[in-house]
Parts: sequence; structure tokens; C-alpha cells
Amino acid sequence: MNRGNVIRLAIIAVLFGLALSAVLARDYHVPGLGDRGQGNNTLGMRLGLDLSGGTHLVYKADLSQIGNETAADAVEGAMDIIELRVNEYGVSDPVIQKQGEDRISVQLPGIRESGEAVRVIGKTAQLDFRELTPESWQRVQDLSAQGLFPGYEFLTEQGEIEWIPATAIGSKGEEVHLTGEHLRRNTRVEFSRMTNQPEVHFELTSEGADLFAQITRRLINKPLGIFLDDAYVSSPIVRSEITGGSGVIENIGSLDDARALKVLLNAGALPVPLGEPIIREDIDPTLGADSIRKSLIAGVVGLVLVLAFMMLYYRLPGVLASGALLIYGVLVLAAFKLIPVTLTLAGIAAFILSVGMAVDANVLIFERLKEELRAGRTLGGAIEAGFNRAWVAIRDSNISTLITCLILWLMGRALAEPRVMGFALTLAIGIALSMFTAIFVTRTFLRLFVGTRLAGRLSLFGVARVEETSLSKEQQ
Amino acid sequence: MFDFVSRRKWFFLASGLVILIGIISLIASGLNLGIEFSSGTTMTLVFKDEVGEGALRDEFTSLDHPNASIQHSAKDAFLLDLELPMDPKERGKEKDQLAEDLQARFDTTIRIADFGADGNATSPAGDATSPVGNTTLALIFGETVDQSDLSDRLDDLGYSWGNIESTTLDSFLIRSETIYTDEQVEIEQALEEEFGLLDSLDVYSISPEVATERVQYTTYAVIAAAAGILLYIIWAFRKLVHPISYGACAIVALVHDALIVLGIFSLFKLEVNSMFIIALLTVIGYSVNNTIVVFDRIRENRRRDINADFASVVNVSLTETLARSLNTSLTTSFVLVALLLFGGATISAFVLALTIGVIVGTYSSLFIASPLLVSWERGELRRLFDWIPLRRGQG
Repeated sequence: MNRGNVIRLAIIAVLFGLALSAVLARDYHVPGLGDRGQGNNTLGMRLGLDLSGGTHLVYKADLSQIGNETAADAVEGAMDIIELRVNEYGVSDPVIQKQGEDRISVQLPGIRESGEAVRVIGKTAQLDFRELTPESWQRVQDLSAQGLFPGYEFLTEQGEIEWIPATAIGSKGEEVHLTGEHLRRNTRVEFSRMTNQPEVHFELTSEGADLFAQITRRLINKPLGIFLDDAYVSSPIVRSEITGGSGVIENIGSLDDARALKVLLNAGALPVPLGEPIIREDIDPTLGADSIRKSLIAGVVGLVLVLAFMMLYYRLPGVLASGALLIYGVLVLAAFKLIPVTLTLAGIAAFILSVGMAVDANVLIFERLKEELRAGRTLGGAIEAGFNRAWVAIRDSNISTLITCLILWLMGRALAEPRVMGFALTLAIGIALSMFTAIFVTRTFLRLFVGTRLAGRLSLFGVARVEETSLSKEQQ
Repeated sequence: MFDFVSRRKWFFLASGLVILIGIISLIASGLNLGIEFSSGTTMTLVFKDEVGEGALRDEFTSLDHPNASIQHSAKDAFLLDLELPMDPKERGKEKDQLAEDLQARFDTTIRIADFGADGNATSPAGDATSPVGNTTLALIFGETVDQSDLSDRLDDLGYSWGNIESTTLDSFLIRSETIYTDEQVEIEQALEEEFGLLDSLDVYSISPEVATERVQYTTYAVIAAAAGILLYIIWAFRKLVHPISYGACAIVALVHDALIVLGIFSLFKLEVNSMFIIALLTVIGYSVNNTIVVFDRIRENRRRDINADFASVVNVSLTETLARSLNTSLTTSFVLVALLLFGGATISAFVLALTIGVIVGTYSSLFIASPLLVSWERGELRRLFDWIPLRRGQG
């Protein structure tokens, strides 16, 4: 065994050792790359939403009311508030990403689409306080006098009374509209002792308390309208001036609604309306776990078939290629963890597919090797000639697949579709590493046999046997 | 030695027929586009009580969705009475935990339809922290599960369950125009009033704007992939006498493969989604990959003996690379068939597209792309075009 090959074997051993420890370790720190492997399955890989289950939402921010220069800030601000809202609901590891100019993608592992959390995330949640116009107040009094007052909610919905912003003089001497901006972030849900209905208790900032005092002083025995996103919520009658800066929102509906309102008020209003999600996806978590299990079985069955075929057909080189294929598998898994690649179902399929494709380079080389051996070369000469000649075909054919991967990846990015990106990235890593294992690892293994007694036994390389059959009427 | 070249017209004819059938199907019935490309909402509605398909259809019509497709499927399920927190966060966590616990034992998917509290939520006045309520959950297993197994398991796990009942639930797969969140709440409330308790599972919704964009980007991607590969092929064969002919023949082979896969998906009404596009582009890459290996050998053999008959150079090259072509598609097919048999239903259409593509891709590089080179070289293609009556009439 020459020195070059000893060095190559050492490199392979070190790489394999590092890769294996990366695959087996759960959580660790890589210098320059940071912490790796805080995943939620045994190999510590990151799972995509299609495997972990949960909800995927994409919102489109309505930037029509916002200047170009502040648009980016508004979208960033909306993302921060969405994060606060999600955290209020205790979702673990939410992923909130900006897509393109105006889109926000929200991934909530382990949360069902139909859940309340999902329904409130995109609400603008602009709370404000309003009062009746003098004419509307007159109308309410007239109706009450006749005993025909049907309630504020009904009149508001029918458009028979009109509300205007409740304003007061702020600290800087200007007129200020009292809104959710003036709430402290500590609202809470309680049940009313009178009606046993849920209600939201709030406290105001010092400026808000001052505004509230002025407004309530003016509105004694009149209704104070509370609106959320321009929709009527309730209108308690002010009994006395409120100076303590705290109040209650009643008539909210169910406990879920009250909790949702609390979350919204504590996180604050979105700086830009998001509207309804343009993509909603609800993925069952047990489906992902089941898919992982099934893919694993399929992967093992496929791998065993490939290994068996390689060993039966190509004999000794096949055994070496099988060894190289196992090294390949470990290298790919290590790359997934170190980069890190978020594992999706399509990505797993790509990995399994790449196992089948990875042997292609070996097949190309071994077929060449056979030809060279049949042409009467020694094993050493045949190995070098076989590798050198097969290289062009390996390079050319893999580049075409890598081009496809690049285009798929770009398409996935444009679509903001993690499945497509995951597949492209996984397949590209697989192809790159398969070239490495075929060219470097298999060749190094084969060279071990050069100059040994085994090198003379061509049947080990599948040559003598093939020559007995009619398949080998080669043109020389 | 098998003669690929002299029988080429038969191969062209066979492929032409298969492609023709596919194109007829594509024109006649098009592709079954998933909502990713056509927009809309799909969901599974599970009802606690019996619901007639006609009544549900009428209800959707009155809810402004007369075009919604409604597909009934009875689902075997267990109704389980359990005390669960009313807080949505806590409730979700407990249900996820239950699903996970049961999955660990039964090794299959578990859908949990939540029919909500039966109205007796115990919520002490003034204390909104942890009210709990009696709930009926429907457990829908992916495979058959024995009731006593299930109750034993629940006991082992320490759940204090009230009652288990085996039943068949009415479940409907709905596909409609895009339903947004607020409207979905309204629809669920209306259905609940009409038919009693229900839950919606596996909601997937794409707005028309997103769908249009996806079709657009996907079209760009397919065009870009074809153009990129064409340029690459021309570059790879730039030193040959006719690089254009090699590139064109490789492109014909990949279009051939793509058309056959598309035709089969059209004929059998299999759903076309972004996973299918992935498969299609991968097939294109694979097809070119195979073709290039054969063309590489042709290039090499031609350089060795520039005076040899081109047809026999092609035939020798195909024979020399035959073992490689078959072995590579065999190993790839091994893993694909394993995925098809054991990989589960979620990706079966995707894997099927890949499997068809790999087989067709191997066939086309042997029987279409390379023999086509010979036809090109001999000027048969030009004669074929001359033979078309229209052209002759004009010329």
C-alpha cells in the first residue's frame, strides 16, 4: 500500500468519524456555526411543518395606506406584534418570516388551524373609544322616552346612530383620540360577579388615564362606545368621572373571545392591516410522525435492495461501493445537521432517491473498470483508466441534475414553498456528496487491492464470468 | 448485439402513440389541478350525528357555495368522553399529547375531532384560570384498532376517561372556492346549528392571487429548466461537429418523458400540485443525465474512428452503456418502488411520477434520443417534414 493511499484512507476515516459523531450527537456547539441539533426527533434534526404538524399561515400586508419608505418598518413591526400574540398563546418555536415585500409567513408547530390562536393572529386589533354625536344622543333619548329603545348595538348596526372619536386634551395641549395605544399591556380576563359573563379589565397609561378622566367627566350618564377594528363591542353608560385609569369591557361573548381580546390588547395593534391569510394549512402531527416511520422503512428496504444488487452484480467492487454508500449516507445526514437543513417529507424522499442515484457514479466507473480489465490492463491501470474516463460522464450528467436543483430551489424560494426548497437542497447535497464518495472513497478502497493476490482473480471483479456469456462480444 | 438503430421507426411510432393518447387526454380533460394551482379550500368535516349528503349540499348552496364538491366517507371512530381544559392552548396541548401517546402504541395516524364541551364548563365566578369541561372527542385511527386495546392503553396512560363507544362517523371531504377564516367560522356555526356538533380537519386554503402566482412561477421554472439544460448540453458538446443536433435530440427525449408523465397524470386524473412539478423537473434532469452518458460515449467512440458509419457508432455506444443504463435505473427503481410500497399515501402520487419518469427516461435515452441522432444525421427528419402534405403544397 503506497503512502498516498494511506493518507487518503486516514482522511476518509477522520471524515467518517466526524460525520458519525455529528449524526449521533443530540445538541452540540460547532465553532463558527453556532449551536446545532436542537431538533425534536432522535437524530436531532430540524423537522419541517409537514413532519412536525401544525399550522402554516401566509398574510399579505395592505401597504396601500403606507408610504414606500415606511413600508418595510410597518411589515417588521407587524411581525413583532404577531410574535407577541403567538407567545401569549404559548406556542413553542413559532417561525415568523418575511417573504418578498409584503408577505408574512407564520408557522405554528403543534397548533390546529381551527384554534382560536390562529383566528386572532392577523386581526388589526385597533381598539378605540367613541361617543355619540349630539343628534344621535337626542335620538336615543327620544326613543327611550317612547319606550322604544332597542339597545345601542342594534341602532349602531342599523346605522341609525353615529359615533365619533372620543377625544380629550393631551399632555402637549393637543386633542388626542383615546385608543388601544393608551392601554397598559396588562389587561386580564375575569368573570363578572353580576352576570357571570367574561369581561376584560384594563388599565391605562398615565396620559391615557388623564384623557379617560376628561372624557368620562364629559360623558356622565351618557354611553362611551368601545370599538375594535371599527366594529361595535359595547357602550357602558358612564356613571361618574373615572380618575383611576382603569376600566372594564363587557359584552364580549364567550370566554374564548375574551381571551382573544386580552391577547390582542396586550400585544398591541398591527401597524398595517393584514386581512385574511392568503394561505392556510393545517397539518396533522401524527401524519408527519407516521410518514417519518414509513419513509424510514422504505429507505431501509431500498438501501438493502441496492446493496444486495451491487454486491451480487459487481462482486468485490460492489462490496466496496456498498461500504462507500454507507459512508455516503452518514455524510449526507451530517451535512443535513450541520448546514442545517430543515427536513421535509419531500426532502426525505429526495434523500432516499439520492441513495439510488448515488450508486450511478459507481456503476459508471465499474462498467469502465470491467472494460479496461477485459482489454487486458492490470488492476491498477484499469482503476486509474476507468476512473479517468468515467469522470467526464459523471461530471456532465450530475451537472444537469444540479441545474435542475438550482432552478427548483429558486422556484421554491419564489413560491415561499419550503417543500420545494427542501427537496432541491437535499437532492443537491446528495449529488455533490455522491460524486465525492464515488470518486474519492470507492477509488481509495479499490486501490487497496492493487498488487495483492486478489488483484489477479478477475472473477472477483465480475469479469471472467461475464465473458462466458454472449453479452460480451465487445468491439475492440 | 441488439440493434437499436435500424428499428428506430418502430420505437418512434410506439412513443408517438403513447404521447398522442396523452395529448388527447390533456386536450379533452386537462389536468386535475390541486388547489395550489386552481385556488380554493379543502377540508374534512366530521359530524357527531348523522348527516345526509344532500342536506349538506343544500346547506352549502344556501351558504353561497353551490359549486362546492362534497364527498362522503364514513369513518370508523371511537367516541371518547374526557374532561379537558377549556383554555384553547391547554386543550390543544392535551389533545396533542393524547394523539402522541396513542400513536406510540398503535403505530398509525390518529385524527382527533373535537366536538367541544357539552355546555357544562365548570367555571367558578371570578376565576378564569383553569375551567375544565366534559368533552366528547372522536378518535379516528388510520388502521383498525381494537376497542379493548384502546381502553387498556388509556388506563395505562392514566387518563380518566368516562366512556368509549365504537361508531361510524359521517365525514365529508369539501372542496370549494377559497373560504377565508371569518367565513369559515360563519359556515361552521351555521352547520353546527343545522346538523349538530362538528369539527373541521386538515384545512388547506389558497387564495386566487397565490394560485395565479404559483402557476406563473412554475411555468417560469419549467421554461428556465429546459433552457438551462439546453444551454448546458450545447456547451457540453461544443467540440463536436453538430452540437445543436445533440442538444435538440436530448431536448426531444426530455419533452417525450415530460409528455408521457403528464399524459398519464391527465388520463388517470391524478392531482397535479407543486410536488408533481418537483417530480417532473427531477425526471427532466434524470432523463438528460441518462442521455448525456450515452452521448458522451458516442462522442468518445466517434473521436476514436471518425470514418466509421455513424449508425454503428451509435449502436456500439448504446450497447457499451447498456449495462450502466439498466443498472442505474434499476437501483433508482429499487428505492422508488420501496417508497411506493412502504412510504405511505402522502407522497405516493409524487413517487409514482418519479417512477414513471425514471423508467420512461431510461427508455427514451436508449430508444429515442440516440436513434434520433442517426435520423438527424441522415437527413430523415428533413424528409419527414417534406413528406407532410402541407409543406409540400407550399414548397
